[in-house]
Amino acid sequence: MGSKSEKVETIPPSNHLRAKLGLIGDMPVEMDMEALRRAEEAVAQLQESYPEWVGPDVDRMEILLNDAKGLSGEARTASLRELFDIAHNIKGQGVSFSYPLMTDIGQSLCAFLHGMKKMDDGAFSLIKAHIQAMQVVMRDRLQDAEDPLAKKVISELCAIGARIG
Amino acid sequence: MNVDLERLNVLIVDDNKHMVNLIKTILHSLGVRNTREAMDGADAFTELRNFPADIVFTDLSMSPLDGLEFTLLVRNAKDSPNPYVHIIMLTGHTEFGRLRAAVNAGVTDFLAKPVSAKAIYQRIMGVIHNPPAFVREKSYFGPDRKRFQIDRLKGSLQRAHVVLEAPEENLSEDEIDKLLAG
Repeated sequence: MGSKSEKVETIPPSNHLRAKLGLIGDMPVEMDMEALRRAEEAVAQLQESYPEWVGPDVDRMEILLNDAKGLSGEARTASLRELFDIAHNIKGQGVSFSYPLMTDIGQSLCAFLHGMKKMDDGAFSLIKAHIQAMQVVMRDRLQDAEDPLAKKVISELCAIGARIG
Repeated sequence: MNVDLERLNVLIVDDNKHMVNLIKTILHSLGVRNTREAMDGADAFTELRNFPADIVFTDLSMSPLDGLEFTLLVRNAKDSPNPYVHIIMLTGHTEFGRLRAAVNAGVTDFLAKPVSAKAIYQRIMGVIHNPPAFVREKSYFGPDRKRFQIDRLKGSLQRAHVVLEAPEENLSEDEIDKLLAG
């Protein structure tokens, strides 16, 4: 923020949006609960089909990993970069689609890929394990972030990643 | 009374097609008809030239131009199509460290993941009801950052607030929770 001696020009709030939407003066406006209900229903429908949407993304990660095994140099880096981007997207979206475990696994995988020092058999196996964990979550539609077994698996993935990364 | 959002123009900026679809579905269900999409900040800046957006929902992490760079560009570029547009930034838990940078870049508000219909609706109503004043300083142009201050006297807060009196310090977890409470 600027220092006390710095000149500050203040531009008052604009009523542009209120005017555009036909609101007169300070007329109070409430949330349209029916519209909100419709929106929440639409979100629920999207969440229902999330496993079908994200399935091809997870499959793509598996293909990229297999490609990376047979590649070297920049080609391998490019494959792993695309794999990272998909994992990053899954990390960002999982919780919004009521699949928080996907976010947790994506986060673990991103952290591992980000800090990975060498690409050896151990690294390949760990990436593969993350992908398989995502496939199980989607296959069994596991939406409970507190599922004890799922938490244990993710905890192990994170721990191994921290150890070998 | 309720407000008809049909005339609202909203730009969604995210490189994640599933998130774009989610936000677009929510907006359309709430009555917003005019939405556009962009894959990153550069794409969005170009889109703003052709689409007079009232509100921009943007992700933070994108390439080549991320949400912070996009916000700085919109607020400060000489050729910016709309320096006053409302910019609402989506943030994940792993991005909390960048919230202060987002405030200082000139975002209007935040939307924490998980994204929900109610949270998006609240942000829209927020900019309709309580549009921020803008300030122009030597080193900053954008919504007045004072509104992000935590009013410790009130105890419970209903909107996003951040302490900005000590810009060099990181946000505490409590401040972050209040910021994202919406």
